Amino acid sequence: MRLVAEIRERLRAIFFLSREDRELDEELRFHLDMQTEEYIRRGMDPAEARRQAVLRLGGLAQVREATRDARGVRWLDDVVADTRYAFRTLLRRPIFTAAAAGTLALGIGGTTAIFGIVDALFLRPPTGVRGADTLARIYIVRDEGGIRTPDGGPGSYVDYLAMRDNAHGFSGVAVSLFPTDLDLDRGERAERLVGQAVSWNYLELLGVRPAIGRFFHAEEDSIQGAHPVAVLSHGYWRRRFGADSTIVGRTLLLNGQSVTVIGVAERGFVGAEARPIDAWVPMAMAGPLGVMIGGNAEWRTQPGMAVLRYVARLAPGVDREQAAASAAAALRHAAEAYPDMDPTPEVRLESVVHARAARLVGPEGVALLLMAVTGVVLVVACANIANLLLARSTARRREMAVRASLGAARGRLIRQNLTESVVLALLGGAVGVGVAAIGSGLARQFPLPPGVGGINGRVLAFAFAVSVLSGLLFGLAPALRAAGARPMAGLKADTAGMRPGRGRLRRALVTFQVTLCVLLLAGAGLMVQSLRQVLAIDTGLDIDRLLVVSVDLRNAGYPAAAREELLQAARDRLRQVPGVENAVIVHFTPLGGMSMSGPWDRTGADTAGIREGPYVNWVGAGYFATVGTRVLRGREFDEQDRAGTEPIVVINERLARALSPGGDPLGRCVPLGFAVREGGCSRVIGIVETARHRYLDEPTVPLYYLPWDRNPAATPPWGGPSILVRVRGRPTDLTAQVRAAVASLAPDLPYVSVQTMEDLLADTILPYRLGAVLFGLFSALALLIAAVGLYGVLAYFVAERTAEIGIRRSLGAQERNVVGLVLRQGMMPVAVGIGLGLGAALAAGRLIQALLYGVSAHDPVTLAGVAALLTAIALLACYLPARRAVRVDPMVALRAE
Amino acid sequence: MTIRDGELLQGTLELMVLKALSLGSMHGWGLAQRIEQMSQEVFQVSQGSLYPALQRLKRKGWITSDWRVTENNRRARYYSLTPAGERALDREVAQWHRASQAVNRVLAWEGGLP
Repeated sequence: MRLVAEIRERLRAIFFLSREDRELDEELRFHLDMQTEEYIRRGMDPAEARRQAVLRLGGLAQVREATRDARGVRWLDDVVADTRYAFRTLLRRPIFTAAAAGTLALGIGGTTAIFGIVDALFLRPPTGVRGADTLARIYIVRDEGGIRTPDGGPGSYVDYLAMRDNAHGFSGVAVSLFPTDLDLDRGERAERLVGQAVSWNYLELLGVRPAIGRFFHAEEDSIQGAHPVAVLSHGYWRRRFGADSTIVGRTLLLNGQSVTVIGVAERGFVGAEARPIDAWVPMAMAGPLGVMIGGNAEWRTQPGMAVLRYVARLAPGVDREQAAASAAAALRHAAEAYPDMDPTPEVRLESVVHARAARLVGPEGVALLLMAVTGVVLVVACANIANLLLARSTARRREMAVRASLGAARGRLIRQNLTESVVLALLGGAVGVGVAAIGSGLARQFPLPPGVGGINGRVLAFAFAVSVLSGLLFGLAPALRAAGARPMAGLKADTAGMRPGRGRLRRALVTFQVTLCVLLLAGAGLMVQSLRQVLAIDTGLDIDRLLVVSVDLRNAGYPAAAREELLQAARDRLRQVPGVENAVIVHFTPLGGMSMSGPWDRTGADTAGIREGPYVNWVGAGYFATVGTRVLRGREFDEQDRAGTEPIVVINERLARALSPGGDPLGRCVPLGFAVREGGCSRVIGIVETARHRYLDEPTVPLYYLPWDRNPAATPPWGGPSILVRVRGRPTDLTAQVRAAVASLAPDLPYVSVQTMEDLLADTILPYRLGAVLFGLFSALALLIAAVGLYGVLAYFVAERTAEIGIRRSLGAQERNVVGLVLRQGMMPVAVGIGLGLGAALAAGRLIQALLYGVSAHDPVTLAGVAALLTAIALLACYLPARRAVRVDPMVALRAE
Repeated sequence: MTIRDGELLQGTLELMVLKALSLGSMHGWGLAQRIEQMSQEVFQVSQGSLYPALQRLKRKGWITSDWRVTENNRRARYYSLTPAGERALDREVAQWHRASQAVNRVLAWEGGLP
């Protein structure tokens, strides 16, 4: 009761400070009036009565002050006074304030924008997931072919059953497959969505709730294909069905199967993967939908089919270690039935939040790195402002000394200086939030899940905390320095000339900044080098003006013969479209990420240096001419090849060298192709240049090509086929016509995917591009900040030593001596910083090596370039102060003393 | 003889303010008058102590204040006792008696070393 009253009273005191004061004044005036009247009644004359009344009160100001103290808000009054004073001081030097706040705004804004992304990706569970602290991802560590993956990986359905039924540490275990594309509808309304097969309890176990309808029942996940049901994401429901609530119970055509929608998940939940999910189906539908290849019951019984991802809810009172031990015991027990399996699997449990960070590479990794980079930029900015403040604190020594001699306590001076820094930092932070808003707009260039990034309460709180921290960080040294001013020394300083050792702290700050700049610039240089290397990769393909067209006919239920007929019809039709140069069929789209090893009898071959492959691909007649891969010798497949009976093959140069070192395999019958399985061979009709196969940034592999037209049925049931279309002019101009041409072949075709080859590659190039652009941007920013800082230090140095320089000049010092003096002063901390920075860059190299392509993290050219660039910038920053020093007129300088 | 409140034990003024307020709400000047009268002009309350004391009591939640109009049509801040203040008054008065009796006993001691 008393506490509540006190808090209320204090709050009133805080928020109605001025009103309280006004009221107190009125009260005291009333008191005086009453006292005066009393004295008059006793017979005093009015003037004397008033005087006596004031005397009796004991001084208005004193009473006011004592009463205010009794209210217990003295410290707050101080804060308010300090803040007002800080604003006045800052406004008196608008240029300094704008420069400092602007620098901080960039630092804080950058950090805040990146924090928004990192927070959503790594620090918080996915939207809709509840009780994340008792959820765990399960990773199974076991020997496979003699290799034990330390981090563990996915497991099989057999593992799932073992843990579900026999691990006691969990109140539930759920599994999911990797997200896959599913075709919805046919004909004009056809489109492609991202689907995920999950065990029936998956959504409930994560704590997600349905927005409408319900989630799966256990029996819907029991018999293959018996219960074709699906749950939609809220976003997809809104986008595709306009949030129509009659969706529950409606039947959709998914990958050729009729599937009933039973519910919609709550708003914001898009799954627990990096890729946002549009629809979930029970695991029992994975086979029928063609999500699991070869799909029916086998994958549920084969312990080697490790394709499942697990998530489990810990039982109450059980910690991760106990749960992991009980899961491992269950797996070991199950492994007894399978002599082929590793008998001693282990289990690792990880948080669902952390799991997203640890298991995801690519743009998320870049985001994490960027967080560090922006943090470094902020620290550089703080060092700069600390430097500016130090310079100013020297200039303000008189002010401080005067205040100290007037009786201000040391602690009070420190507090006032810190208040000023924090006010400055908060100004910067406020502008920084604006910068962050713009920055997170730019961050949408990332392929990030929806709802990630942007400004929200947590991000604002972060910006506030970072601002206050920065303010304290850069304000502390100057505040201590300022408050340390002894009254007499400070008042005398202006006439006492300079003291040695002053500015040591400021030079140390410059060294620190240069060190961090070297680190950032080295990173930027390496990233730019990587991007250049990636862009300069000779793919062996002419990827401009190339479209990739594909339709999933297999899952749509077309029989093999009809599929081939349609594919050929589509190819012929595409060749007729105006603007199309050629269209060819290929099984694995080059650089599309899919591949398959082909048979090879290695007897007598030089397999040295061949770590993987050879891979096989099926290509139609005219493929190489169409995609721009040069035929080095022999010829490529033509229309006549389909009639022949002898197995033929085209090989890449890499494979040719391995097949017959020193000789020429052209025209020979080599042990390649499916004929090898019957002891036969295939005749090499051509040798082509070694084009990149799976990914742009992967090393080249030995590869051979078989004619698609001859035996399309031999191709695997996954990874293709597609049609590559070479067009004249901009490929995006033709996308619509190409799609329409294919769709016109049959009224009920599933979604026709048309992509430019460049888009396909963009995903591979994106991390390099982002790394180079963002690293470059931020390190340029840091460099600019540091250069300004160095300039400030030197300019101050010269101004401070004007008298000394004047004396030197009058004693006969040459221009170059003076320039040398300034340069030594400026370049020494820079040189030390460059040295330290290079050391740090070498040490940190390992951290970013994984993000680089074709360049070592210790690349001497890059590091030397960084050192040279920094030296040049530093010299530039020294130039103006040095020139000013040279122009010092000895007489003027001496008179100023 | 007049005793100024600076010569009083700390807390005594507050105790007297509480007691004075238990007779009814009053403004600051009136309280000073009332205390002087109640002490039969022995105590002279200095306003420099009265208003801070009132603030302290307010912070403790023992008294509240509101603006009213006096008989002479002047606006003045009136203070009144809260229920918590009434309880505190009882408690403090009992404590005061115990303490003053103890002080009296000490001062009235006639024997040798206890």
